[in-house]
Amino acid sequence: MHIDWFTALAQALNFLVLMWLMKRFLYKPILNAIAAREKHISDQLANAADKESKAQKEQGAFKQKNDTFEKEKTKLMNEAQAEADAIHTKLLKKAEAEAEELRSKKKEALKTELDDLSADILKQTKEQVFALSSKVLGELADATLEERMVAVFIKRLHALNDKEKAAFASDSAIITSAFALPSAQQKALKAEIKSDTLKFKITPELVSGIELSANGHKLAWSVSDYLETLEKEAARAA
Amino acid sequence: MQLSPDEIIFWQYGFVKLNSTIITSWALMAILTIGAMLITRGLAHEAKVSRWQSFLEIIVTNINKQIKEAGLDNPEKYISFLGTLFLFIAASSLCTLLPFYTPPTASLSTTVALALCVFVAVPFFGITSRGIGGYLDSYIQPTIIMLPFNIISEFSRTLAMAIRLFGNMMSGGMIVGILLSITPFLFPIVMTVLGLLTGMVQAYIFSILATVYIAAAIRSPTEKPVTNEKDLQHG
Repeated sequence: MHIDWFTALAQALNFLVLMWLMKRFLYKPILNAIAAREKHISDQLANAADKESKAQKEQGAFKQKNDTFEKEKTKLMNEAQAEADAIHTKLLKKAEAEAEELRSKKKEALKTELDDLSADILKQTKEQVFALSSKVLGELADATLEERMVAVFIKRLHALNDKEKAAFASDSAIITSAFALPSAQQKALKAEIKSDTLKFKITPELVSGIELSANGHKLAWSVSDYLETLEKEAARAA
Repeated sequence: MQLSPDEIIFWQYGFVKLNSTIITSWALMAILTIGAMLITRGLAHEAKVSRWQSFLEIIVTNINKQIKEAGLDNPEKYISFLGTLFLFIAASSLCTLLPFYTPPTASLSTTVALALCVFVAVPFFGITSRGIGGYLDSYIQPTIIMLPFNIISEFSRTLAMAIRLFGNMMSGGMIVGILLSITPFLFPIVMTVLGLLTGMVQAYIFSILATVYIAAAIRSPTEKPVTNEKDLQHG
């Protein structure tokens, strides 16, 4: 059990060499690898955190944008809906108005047509009636009828009051008849209106009848007169 | 029976000689270096690492951790010295499993050499850390009366380290040798296992003592041992 100083020295030297070798081949690479790995991991973590925060920020921005878009969409939709409603109402009103107008026009047209038709019918009826009446009365008319007529006329004259009679008692008084009156009847008429200057005129258009006119006054009894009255009545009924 | 591998001399010229101690040391150095080279040749810097790399990383990070726990805040600076001390002594002990092997640490010359390295390293680190004045100041702490005792302690602890390691390593081999001659095969195997344990413990003790000495040398006397408190808090 002794110390061999040469061996001790050699071992110390060996140890120093081993120290260097270990430092060179073991500690340095291993520690570097660990440091690099830790840096890598921390870098990755930092990167991930960075990415996460960025993603969250982006998500927030996107959400906000989405919300805005949604709001805008709803607003636009509402606006469009309102507009469509307005247009709808307007169109409906217009269509109703048009329909109403059309209906009234149609009604009017119908009425006009009806009026026309009724007027036409009336006119034709009137014409027929007049034609028939004229024909019947024309065929029936003769001196006897005339006489009866004059008699009726004298009766009516007789029924007039004095004031009315006086209106006819003028020089311009004129008796119009469809046929020539017999002198007896002329006399009777003259006596009735107390006028000697009474003139007599024959007008076949009267069909059958007699008419007294003087100073703008007129007293008549004729088929034409009746027909005129009937026509007036018919026009009023239409 | 030979007490020391120093006595097995392979080659000699004057006082220069190649004995078993030196040759075995070289072999161990070669194994450690080549192993480290092979493993660290293709180091992965990514998250996925090989088994062997993990193994080395566990060793290195644990050495770092031990240094830090012993009170040195910047373990990377001391790992070359303290880590190599541990690895060399541990490898020497581990190889006792091999036949015809005598650990170099069973030679007093080797342990003295290692103890002398510590003896030199303590003031070296102390001076680089605190300056020469600061380092020398630690010898007169807490009072100047302690100066001779501090100096004596410096030498005695170096001697104690050398002798402790030598004694333990030598006795392991010795016990196996003696038991082999008096008992059958089974018992020496148990003792070899025990020797392995002792060797690992000694490697730990030797390097942790060196760490503590260096820590004491670089720490200013007024400074509290902060790291120990931290460890207590953590632990």
